[in-house]
Amino acid sequence: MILGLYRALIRLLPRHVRERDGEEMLATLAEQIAAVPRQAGVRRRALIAFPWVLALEWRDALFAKHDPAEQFLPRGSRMEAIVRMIRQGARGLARTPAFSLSVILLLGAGVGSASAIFAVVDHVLLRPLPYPDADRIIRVENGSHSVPAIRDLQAMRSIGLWGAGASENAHLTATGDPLRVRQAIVTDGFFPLFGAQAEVGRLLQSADSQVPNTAVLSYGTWMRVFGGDRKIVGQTIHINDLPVLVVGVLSNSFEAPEALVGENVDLWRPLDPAADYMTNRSYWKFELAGRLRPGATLTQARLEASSVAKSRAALDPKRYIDNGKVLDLPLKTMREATTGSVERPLQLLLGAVGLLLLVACVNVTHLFLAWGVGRNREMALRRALGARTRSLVAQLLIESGMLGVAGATLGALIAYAGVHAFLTLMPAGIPRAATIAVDAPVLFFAAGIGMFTVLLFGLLPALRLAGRSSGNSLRGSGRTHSEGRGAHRFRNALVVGEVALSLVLVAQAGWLLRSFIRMSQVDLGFRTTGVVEVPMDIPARQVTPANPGAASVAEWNRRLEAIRESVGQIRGVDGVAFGLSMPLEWVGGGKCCWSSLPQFAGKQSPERPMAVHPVSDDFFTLFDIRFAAGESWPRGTLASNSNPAVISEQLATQVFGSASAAVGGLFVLGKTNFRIVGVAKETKYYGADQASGTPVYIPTSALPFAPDNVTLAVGTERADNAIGSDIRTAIWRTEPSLPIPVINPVVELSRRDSANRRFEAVLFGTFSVVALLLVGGGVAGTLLYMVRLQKRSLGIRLALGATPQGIARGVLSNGLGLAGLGVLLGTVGAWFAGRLIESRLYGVEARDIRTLGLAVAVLMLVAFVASWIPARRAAITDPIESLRAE
Amino acid sequence: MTNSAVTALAPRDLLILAVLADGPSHGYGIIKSVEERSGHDVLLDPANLYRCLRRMSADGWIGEVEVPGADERRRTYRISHKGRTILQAEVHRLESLLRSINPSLAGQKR
Repeated sequence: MILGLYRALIRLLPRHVRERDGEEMLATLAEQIAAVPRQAGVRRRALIAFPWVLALEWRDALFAKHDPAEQFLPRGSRMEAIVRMIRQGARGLARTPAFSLSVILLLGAGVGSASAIFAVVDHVLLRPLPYPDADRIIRVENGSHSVPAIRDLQAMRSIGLWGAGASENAHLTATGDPLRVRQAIVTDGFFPLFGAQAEVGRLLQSADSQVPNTAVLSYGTWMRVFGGDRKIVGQTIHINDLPVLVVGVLSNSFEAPEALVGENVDLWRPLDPAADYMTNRSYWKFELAGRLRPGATLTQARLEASSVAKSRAALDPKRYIDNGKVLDLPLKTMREATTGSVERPLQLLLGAVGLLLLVACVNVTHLFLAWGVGRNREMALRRALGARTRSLVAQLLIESGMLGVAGATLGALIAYAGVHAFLTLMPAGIPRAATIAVDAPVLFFAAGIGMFTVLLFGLLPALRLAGRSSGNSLRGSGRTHSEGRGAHRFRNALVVGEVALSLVLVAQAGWLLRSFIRMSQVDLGFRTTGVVEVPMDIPARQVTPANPGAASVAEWNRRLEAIRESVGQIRGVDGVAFGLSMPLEWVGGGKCCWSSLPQFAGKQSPERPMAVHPVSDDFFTLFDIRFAAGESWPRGTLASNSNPAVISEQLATQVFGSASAAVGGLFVLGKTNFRIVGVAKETKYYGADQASGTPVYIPTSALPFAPDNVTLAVGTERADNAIGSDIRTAIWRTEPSLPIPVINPVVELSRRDSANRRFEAVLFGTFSVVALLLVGGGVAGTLLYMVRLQKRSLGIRLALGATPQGIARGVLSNGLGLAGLGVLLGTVGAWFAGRLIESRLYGVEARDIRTLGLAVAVLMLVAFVASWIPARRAAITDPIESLRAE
Repeated sequence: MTNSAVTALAPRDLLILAVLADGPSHGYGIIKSVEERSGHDVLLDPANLYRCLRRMSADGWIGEVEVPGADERRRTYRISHKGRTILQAEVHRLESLLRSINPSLAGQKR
């Protein structure tokens, strides 16, 4: 096998070398291998050395005269020869500026867009995660885990090191106003597992978790908030009003594992040994990862994890058996857990941009074919004058190489702009997004495909076809020079191929655009205009030593009522509501909502837990949520033995048979009794393309616990910039220690909700517009070229009485015929490609025929316009003129 | 060619010349001898070997011999007069170099 490979490699050598020594080299290698058959070194050495020798031989063959004396020539003369050739190449390219410019632009567009998407795919999907033994790190899936559950898993022998983390909002007071920050609580193993290093000070140690008032800062936070002051280490800052000692700063190169702690973590804290989450199995708080021990396999780890899952279910079936099924502990590689969700969309993008690059390549081939015919005659002339084949080939290589370099350079510039645009438009939630940049590998990629495209799609076909089509290039006069049949067919095939590829792109763009439009038209079931949401952290005051006894839901409600009152007094505010979570708040990721399983009195209760939304009384009025029956609870109702509740229409129908039957029904949630007072219509609480679920709404006063976060919704038609600061001032009036709250208009949240689809539709749309332009250019260019080649025969036909209309019709039908064939092939391609984007569509049937039909119509229209220009050109051919020119 | 025209030869070239100075050899023979002489220090692959041989032939350091009755495909190389001169010049150069170093080396040993 190695000999076969070597034989193939030898074929790549310049001919004189190959013919002289090729057989000898092969025979020698065979002998070497026969002498020491088991030794891999011989084979490896032979293969490694070959490319280098190959490059040297070609360099010698192209740039040096084959004269033994040449070895002793000073180096300068060889350099001079290269410079001379480059200068000659530049002159040659300047003679055909339209050709050179078109090739450079086409290459730039194709290479640029492909490199931009490649930059994203490379950084997000291809680069290994920057952790030691990253491919051996696994994440435990199936939601978050409680600390006791993590302890269960630590019995696994196949995992050597565990690290867990959870992130939450907090407010940081160092100097001046409190800041809203994201803090991660991590276990001892976390930093060693991910190979984190300290920039200043130290990282968390196991002793820290005995006294949890320590913190490590992220590098960015250190820079942003503390101006990179090294003296911060050893100082005390306040987090949620508690003093915390800064022990160190993470290094800038540390990429926080998003699959565990999400993005933008500002500070890192140890576990608190006194916290409820240390012992409470219901506190599903932490994300868990671990590294396989050397020698252990993922399969072993999976088996162990599932046996842990089984044994804990046996001990605690109530908690760990859901609906008759053991709650499993599936393992995923860290890589899959981090980027698994975007793998498919990014691959699709890469595919789309690949199609675009192919279309650009086809156009490059078109251009080179026309160029090759012209060059062929020049080459034949020069050969007749005594030039050597070698130097002619070198000349062509240099010229097309220069085009490749120019195109790749333009492509790199476009890639820079493209990546910038991508990062600006990009929807939230693309993992590792912070690392995306145009760097050396991306530039290398751009240069590589630029040169590859020029040589493979440009020069090679041009040389082959030009050589084949004209037996003696000097004989033809040029004006009447006609291509061979092969070249003609090849050219037509290119047009057909390019139309087909574009149709695939246009159809996909159409489907994605349609699903984006569908999604924008979805009735969310609540008001989106004139409402802003303000997520806030109300740190549980009960844990502050200064305020030990204040822990109660009543206290929590009292504070929020105060905020509500204060905000309600702002001019132009027509309503204020609050709740644990608000509509669209969790768009783009994050963990949403509290779920629980209500038990309906005297009815078959549902089997799965559902979202419970604790909201204040005017929530329904503020968001204009419609009722199928009953109404919201009035303000201030707090029945002693049963709280009012609103359930969703779907749940009412499911349990009570109809909405109206549900009103007055009773259920128990946890230990609290509720009486249904209203049935709300469906709302798209989590996003337009998400399932509505069967939510239950309860008054915040009926909450069994005091949550440490809350979201305020403020109804206001005011659109001035001051509304934000008015709301902040109003909040600070009652809660002076709260960090600066974020103000999210619901319209903005809704935009973010469809950002993914908009983004895909825009990208695919852009690609297909470019592809359509390229197709138009390709069709028009090809037909124009044919018309020029046939000028003489057109002249004769006109002289013999053909009408200009007839001639034009001929050209037009030629173009449309090719396009038609392309459309036919493209439809088949689009049909298969439709399956790939099936899962990404919303409200549109995959392979929706109307969209496909529209795409076909657009392409045929482009082809028609593109054929019409050459057709007109053909029709106005002056017979006398074209014949006289002979 | 004078001594001064030959600056230091690459070990590979020197070894190939030395092998051929002991008698004509073909491709694999050269590889094996070079390997043995250099104590497996200089390992050759066919591509580099034949590139060297081409250059040396072109420069007239080595030539080919017709071995009657041998496998026609296999080419056998011999050292030329010019090649021998170059080899001697290089050996001479290295010896004088070693002589100039040796006393100090000996001094260090002691």
